[in-house]
Amino acid sequence: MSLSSLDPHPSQYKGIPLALSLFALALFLLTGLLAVMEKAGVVVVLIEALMALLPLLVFAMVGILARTMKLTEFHWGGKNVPAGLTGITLAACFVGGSFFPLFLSLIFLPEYVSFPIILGWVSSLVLCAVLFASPLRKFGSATIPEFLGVRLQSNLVRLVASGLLVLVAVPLLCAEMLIGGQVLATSLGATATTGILLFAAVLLISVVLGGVSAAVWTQALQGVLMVFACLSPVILLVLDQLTAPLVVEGAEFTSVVGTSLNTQLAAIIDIENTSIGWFLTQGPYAGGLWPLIGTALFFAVGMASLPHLLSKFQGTESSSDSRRAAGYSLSFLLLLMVIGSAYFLLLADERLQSLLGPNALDQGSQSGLIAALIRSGIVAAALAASSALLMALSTSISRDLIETFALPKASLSQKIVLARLVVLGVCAFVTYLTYSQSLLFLDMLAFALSLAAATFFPALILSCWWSRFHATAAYSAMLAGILATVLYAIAVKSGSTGFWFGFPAEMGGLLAAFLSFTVGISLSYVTFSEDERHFHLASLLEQPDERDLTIDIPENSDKDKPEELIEIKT
Amino acid sequence: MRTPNRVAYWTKTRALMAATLTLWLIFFCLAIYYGAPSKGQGASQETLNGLFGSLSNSYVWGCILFFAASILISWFCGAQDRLDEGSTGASKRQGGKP
Repeated sequence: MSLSSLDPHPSQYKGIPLALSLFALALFLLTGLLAVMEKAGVVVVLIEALMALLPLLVFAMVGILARTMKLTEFHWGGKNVPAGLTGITLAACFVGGSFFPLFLSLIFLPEYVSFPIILGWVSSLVLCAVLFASPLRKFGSATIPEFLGVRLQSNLVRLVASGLLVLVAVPLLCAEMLIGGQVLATSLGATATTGILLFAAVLLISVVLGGVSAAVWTQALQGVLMVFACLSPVILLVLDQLTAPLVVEGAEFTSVVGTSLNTQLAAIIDIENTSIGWFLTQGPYAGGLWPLIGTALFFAVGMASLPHLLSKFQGTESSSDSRRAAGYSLSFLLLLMVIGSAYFLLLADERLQSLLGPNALDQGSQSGLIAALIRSGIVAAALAASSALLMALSTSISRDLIETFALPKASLSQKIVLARLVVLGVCAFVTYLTYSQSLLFLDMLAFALSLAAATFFPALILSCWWSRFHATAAYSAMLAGILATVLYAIAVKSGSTGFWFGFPAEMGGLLAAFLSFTVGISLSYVTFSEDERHFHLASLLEQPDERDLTIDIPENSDKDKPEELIEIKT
Repeated sequence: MRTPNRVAYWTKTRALMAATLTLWLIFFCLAIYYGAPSKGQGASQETLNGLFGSLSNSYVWGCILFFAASILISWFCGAQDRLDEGSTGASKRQGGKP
């Protein structure tokens, strides 16, 4: 086994603040131009198409410009992503296209539904910061399965974890593509198929050449667009004041908020009609405290176990930066929640209504600049989450499966080509799944969270914080978790069993996580082999220093130099 | 071979983690106890007579939780950073492995 530390190298993210500022300015100017065009009577279809397509063009261009031939940048983003940038991109991926409409319509949801969701979101980031951020970065692995494989010195653990990652990530990616594609199609007035294909094309272009490095750049820009979309009423008012600086006397908030846009947003993810909504409002314990606690715990554990979010902590410069990134992410989410909730309040301003037309709220909800802006925000959020999911999936398939088992002696250039081919293949496969809509992906969101909670959460906690935990216990715990989740879902759906603690079929992962913990802890006390190497690697977590256990070479090394490999015996 | 320094570092790290999670659990319980809405409480945004008055209880609690979590995470990050720096410095002074 060889351990190596990457030499410090100049960050490719130095230009990010300037790029984000320029992008925000460009959006401001574009909005101003489109507002003038709207006033001048230009057809709405053109305005909506421009607002939808121009940001996508920028994302695709940035993805091409951020191309790289360095494996470290392709898989880790260079391992030097600043904490603040990681925080923004983590928040953008955390929200995604599935939660962004919820942020906007949060204050319209019944309190009994919105309260545990907020509690769960916040708790998941606290868990990430305290439990996972630092240990994950200390090992310097590219994927969660790789971290588990190296920490526990087992290729079998890596294989099992990689298979589970695919099971968790594919439905999530399909759901994000479905949401992004359909919203994009609405903006363009095209069919859903066209929207999905266009969305997939932009997604592919933005990551296939630059990998994680390009994904970080585009996700940061997408985060800016999400904030911009939430602030669009303010921006339109500012533009109106700049062009006609006469403050309307007596302007005040209208008494009734038009709800058609809210209805549109709620239709994207109708949380009240999902299994989570059923658990809260119609389940056996509905109305009591337990559904609130159960839902909050479900979101906390499920979101904290999602591999594409956890992999964000593996690309920072140090473990200290990883911890701090979770804090920045929390601040960004708070900002989104506040300005997202203010969106409808601002939309009801009389001045904005007079700016947009006599029935601005109702008209604006269906078409026009204000609707195009918010749809762009949703598409950007879906793209951010999709790029993180696509990279997590493809990196795991290329590194943890193909490179480990089929091509262990591939050269660096072969690995880069392989990584790109896998990105292409995964994107095509997921696009086909989304296009065919053979599964109800939106209904599978809760189940994917459930699977992540039952498999990754116990294995990661025990790997990070308990040196006795070994490989046999790890894959047994993960397999027990997934089996229990699936069996519970089947049993509940078929009526073979009642609702344990009131949990619907899709939320059984929270119960399975307890079983997974029990299996993992019990088996850890049984010694199956004399192999002590996993104890040695666990001891790395007990030191303040970071030792990147990497299978990539330093950037300034010769490309032909054989890379340093971690030998993992099965 | 475990050195006393490393044992102390690991013990302190785990104690810090446990303390932070315990504090968060207290916030969690407080939020559930004082902020839990009843099932009948619906969306309150029909009228906008006064911005602050129209904000829902869960929204206000959400913001409070975000602030509490931010403070807690900053505290945790700062304490863990000092622990890392202290342990690294001590090991360098001894000229050995941390």
